[in-house]
Amino acid sequence: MQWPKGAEQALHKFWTLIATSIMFASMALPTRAVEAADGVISAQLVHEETGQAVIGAPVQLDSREFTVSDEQGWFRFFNVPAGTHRISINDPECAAFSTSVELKPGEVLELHWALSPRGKQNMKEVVIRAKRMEEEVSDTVLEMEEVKKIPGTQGDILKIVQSLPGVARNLAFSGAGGAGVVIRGAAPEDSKVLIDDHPVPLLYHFGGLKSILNSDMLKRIDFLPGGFGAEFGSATGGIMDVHTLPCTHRQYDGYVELSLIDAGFFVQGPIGDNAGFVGAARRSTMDAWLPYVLDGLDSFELTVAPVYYDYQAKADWSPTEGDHLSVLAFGSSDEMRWLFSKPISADPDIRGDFGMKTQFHRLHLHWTHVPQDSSWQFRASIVGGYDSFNGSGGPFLMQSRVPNLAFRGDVEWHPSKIWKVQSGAISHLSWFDLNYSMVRPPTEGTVPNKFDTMEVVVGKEKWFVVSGGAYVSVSAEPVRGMLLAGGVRLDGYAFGSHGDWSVMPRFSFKQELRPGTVFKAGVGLYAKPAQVNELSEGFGNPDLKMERAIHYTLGMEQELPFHSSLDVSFFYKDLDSLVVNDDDTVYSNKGMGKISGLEIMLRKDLDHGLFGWLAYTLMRSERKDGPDEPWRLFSFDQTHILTLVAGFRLPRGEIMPMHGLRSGWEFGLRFQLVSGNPITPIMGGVFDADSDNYLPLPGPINSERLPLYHRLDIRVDYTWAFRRWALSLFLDLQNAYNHQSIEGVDYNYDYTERRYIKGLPVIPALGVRGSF
Amino acid sequence: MGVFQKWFLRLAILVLACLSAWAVCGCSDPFPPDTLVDRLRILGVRAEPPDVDLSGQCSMDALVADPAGQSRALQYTWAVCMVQITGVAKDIQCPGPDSFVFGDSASADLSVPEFVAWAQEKGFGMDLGDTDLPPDMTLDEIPLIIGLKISAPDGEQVSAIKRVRLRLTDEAQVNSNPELTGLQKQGRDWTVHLKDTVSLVPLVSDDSAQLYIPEGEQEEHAEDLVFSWYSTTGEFRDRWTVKDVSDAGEPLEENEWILPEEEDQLGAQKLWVIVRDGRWGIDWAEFGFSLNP
Repeated sequence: MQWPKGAEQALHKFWTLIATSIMFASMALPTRAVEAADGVISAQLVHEETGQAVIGAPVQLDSREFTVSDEQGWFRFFNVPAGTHRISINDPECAAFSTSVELKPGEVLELHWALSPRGKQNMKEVVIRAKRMEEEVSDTVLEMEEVKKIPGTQGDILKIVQSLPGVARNLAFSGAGGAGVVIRGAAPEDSKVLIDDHPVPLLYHFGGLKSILNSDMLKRIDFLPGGFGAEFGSATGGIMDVHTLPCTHRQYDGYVELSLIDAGFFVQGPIGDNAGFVGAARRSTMDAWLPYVLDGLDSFELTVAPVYYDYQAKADWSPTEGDHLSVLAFGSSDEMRWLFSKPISADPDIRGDFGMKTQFHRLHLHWTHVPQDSSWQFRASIVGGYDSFNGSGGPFLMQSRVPNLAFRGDVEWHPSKIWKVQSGAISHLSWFDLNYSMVRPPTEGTVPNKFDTMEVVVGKEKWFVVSGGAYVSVSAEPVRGMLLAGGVRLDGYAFGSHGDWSVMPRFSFKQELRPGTVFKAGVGLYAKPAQVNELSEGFGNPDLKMERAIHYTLGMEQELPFHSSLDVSFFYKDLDSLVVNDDDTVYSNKGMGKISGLEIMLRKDLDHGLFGWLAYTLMRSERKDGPDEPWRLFSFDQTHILTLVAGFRLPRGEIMPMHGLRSGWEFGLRFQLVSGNPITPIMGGVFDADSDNYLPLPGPINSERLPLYHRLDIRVDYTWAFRRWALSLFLDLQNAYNHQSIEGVDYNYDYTERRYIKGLPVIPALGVRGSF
Repeated sequence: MGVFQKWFLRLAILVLACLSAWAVCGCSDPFPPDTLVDRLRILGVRAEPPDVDLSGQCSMDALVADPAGQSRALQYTWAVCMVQITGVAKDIQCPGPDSFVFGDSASADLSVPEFVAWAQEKGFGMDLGDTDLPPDMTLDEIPLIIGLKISAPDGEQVSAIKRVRLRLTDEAQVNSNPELTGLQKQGRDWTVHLKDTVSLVPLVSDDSAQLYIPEGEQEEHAEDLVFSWYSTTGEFRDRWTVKDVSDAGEPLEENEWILPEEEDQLGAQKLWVIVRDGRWGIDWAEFGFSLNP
């Protein structure tokens, strides 16, 4: 790729200036000399079945150093200190491999490893990591090979995030929307979902029915529950950084699938020697049968049954050894319409035609440049997008169209083995076109009145919003086993004469106390703008400032025998400038919050057919709706969250070379035990003689709790593996012992009687899959 | 889009959840229908006229049902309350500490000048002739929140609120209460039988649905009349029925009264129909039936 001459020179000067400044800074700090006792670890990787070299396999040493195998399958790490080291290999076409090696002082270690083939369905390496990089304050890796058989997720990898420590259980009918994930006591909208470094407005169809990305399109998910680095902005909760699959597969394959929920296909393959493609699409099939099931309902008619679709298409091209270009297009649409031919019993305003359609589309262009000397690399991307939402019903209408454009550039520089420097900037341009006739949705913790008591706000607005951020972060390993990282980020936004900005320093520290034991700590400031409706001139308060949070994290990682590890983290978050209702200005930044907790994760990597984790979170999340208001529980506060995930394989017979499977049983289970969510009790009602309804009289906010939630999901698979194909039969049993969880409280017409709303009963799913 | 999107998504998800629950277990509402009047209740509150000007006066009365009360003496408290009814539920005390009490019997007269004098004395900012609105904006009317509390000798209490439109300028549109003139029932007499399904149509005067100009619009619309149904036995097909003049579809004011199977319900029963015009105008009628085997 050729830059315009002037642009290339300007860019070169800019980064030279940054790099020179940092280099001078680094010279003032102590550096670690290479010791004579250091040794070399090298190994050759070959395919178990064919004996051919495994080329280009990513190899990690102690999760710190990274290389790839060469054309003969060799990799080498130089200047490695004596001691025990962990080598991890994650080649897309081979089963994940991890082992420990002992290096003596000055030794040059040469090893040979034969890697098992990965099954044809498993050739995509999908990794969910609880933290992204070594600079983050913990590091846990869950591999696709492990997580795809977790029961209760219907093979939807993005749903597995809800089994990780620090993630609250979403109530079945909450419709949290947005990221839809409550991370470490933060509101769902405080967390952010990124797909290939850029945000998306939705992660799940219909608030949680299914994720908007086909799981086979994923390479890995970086899950960052807090204390994340300066490269992430506009979030005060957590980050889900989703990375799509690189198009490196060297043969054509794919599949089509059909179920009662949806139908879709997946395809991938090469384009010449140095390019490839991958694509997938799905459409719901519920609209084919649901209207017949609902035919007997008198006052309700489903005029458009729930319809969703999503698509993803990606092409990669490496024109030179150091350049990589990628084009990614994806999008999602959810639509549903229904008719209440008569007013429903809950509210006389709920009648007539209701419906909603939400969709978004994205086109990404990515360029990665890694020069031959590999001391630095540069990534740039341009993303064009279009978001739209149409909702209408009764007296309400909401239409929004938001074309948007984003630019992002990141540079990573390794001036020495000790130092790493990252810097980057992102800019978003959004054109909002809003047309609404709506009531103000209640803010968190409040109890809504009946619709006809709410003020209907009517308006049309057009905004042009510029937002963006820039960051610099530096990490160093001044002595062996110690890692220091610091960075600063500037985020801001502006529309019309309104706007705000925030400067956010962030630091983290890790110290290896002894081999296998790491102490970690981090602190950082985080900020995000208010929601669009809160900033709207007609609807809210455009003078709102950014909401802020300070994250504190302290923890310990301990490696254990039998490929196990223990990760313990304490966290505390101090929130301020939270948006709350205000009688004078509609909304104001008078809210405050504090969240404290403990996370424990005991993990067993996949080894001898056994894997799993036990995650426990102890947490308290509180809010204060103004300086003079009392502290109260946050609506998603869950004191105890205990999750047990386990899988066991009893394979027998040979691995079949065509598809990499072998005959045998597989068992999986997931058990969750979670405190009930807080609720605001309603103490009675007063008759509203104008609407013929009762207005609820709420008690103290979130002063009651729903009962304890617990649920067991079980999955059993049996596979018959033949030479050219394999047949698998599985039973996925959700809520195996039929404990109907409590999802909410329902009241009679005047709020003098109440009952619990129960969740779904036991749901068995029997399935069959053929692999070729 | 944020919370806007979430609002509609929640409604869609709620519908999906209800459909799932219906499909899985066919669950029905566990509570008795709210149209069944089996204890002391306020079913309607009327202001005559429904809106007043600054020098005006209106008469308040209420439709109170007390089927188990055996004509016991009830104590009434009427008041204007300085509270705001918004989309966020609050613990409303009406009548409460900051209320202008103006009556203690089944009906009461509200004098606006007396209320305004009280509000100014209490410092509630009722300087109605000189509001703090921007110069390009006029305030034609404000709602007064009327509270009614009814107490029985045994301590049972019920309360209601009602809005009365206070016209501040001549620009404010005048409303009048609709008029319910009768009830049309299929059959020869007012006798109904166990397990019957009785078709009922409320009758209103021709001028009940007034023409008015909705806020922010230029053209006149006719009021939508919404009928509420209550009875001491059985249940109704629809909680509300609508005479929606603006809709091209069939009028929906007809309702079905589904009578019970239990013989202990035999005897005299009552039925109430209440009509509202959506602009705080209201009227009602009470009907007596004999439920036979």
